[in-house]
Amino acid sequence: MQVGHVAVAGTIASFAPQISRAVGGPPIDAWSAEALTVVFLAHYLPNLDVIPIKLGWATDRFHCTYSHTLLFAAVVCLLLWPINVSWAALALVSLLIHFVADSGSSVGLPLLLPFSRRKFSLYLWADTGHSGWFSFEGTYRQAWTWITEGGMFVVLAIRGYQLGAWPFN
Amino acid sequence: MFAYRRTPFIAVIFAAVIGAVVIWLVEVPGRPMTLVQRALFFALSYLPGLGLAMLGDPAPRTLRAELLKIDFYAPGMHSRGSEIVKGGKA
Repeated sequence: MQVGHVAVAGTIASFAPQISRAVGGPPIDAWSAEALTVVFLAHYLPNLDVIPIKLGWATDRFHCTYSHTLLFAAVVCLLLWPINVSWAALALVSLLIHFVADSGSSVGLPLLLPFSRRKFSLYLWADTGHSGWFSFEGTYRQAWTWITEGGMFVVLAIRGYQLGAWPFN
Repeated sequence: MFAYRRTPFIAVIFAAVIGAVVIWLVEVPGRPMTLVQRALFFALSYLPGLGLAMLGDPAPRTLRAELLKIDFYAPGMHSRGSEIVKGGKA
């Protein structure tokens, strides 16, 4: 998933009050600056694994490995927990849903690393690399990317209507 | 991108169905949507509608099958990405 991550993160941020309430942390308003910042940072965090690749510190195969594991999500959550419980919960949800959103890609996610190298994928669309225009173009010439990502923008609009946010106010 | 010219037009039909179902499910009787809000839902529904229409088009299916054969993470493959995606072959 590429552009669709924006809609996914926006949808998660719309549930910030429910998530913060569920863990008994400080309340966070839906789509507040705090909710959007935490969710977008956490949701995009796994894809920052392209930085060491671009800097030449890691090979292309580093993409979608350690940053896309349950252990990574747990570590981020545990690091944030002492600072703000609500942030930790929002980050955990954002990371886990990032993995769900990427599960349609043929790249496969090694969710259980370092305990198992098994990769999980629904093979809905063929992965076309970690960056570059060709990766973007190749992704959006396949059907399921439009179904899943487009569907998420519809869900985001539904949340906009439910919360009475612009342009649904 | 498409093998059939009709694919983007079939997507309009899917979008109409998706948009109508979503509005029917989501709209609260006490808070009816304006015309612009309904139009926005129908416009956004075109995105998944296009995907559904593409399922019946052989071109995206063929491209996906070709791309699945390619390991974009093998050494040197990433730099060849552009020519691979344009040609649809390794």
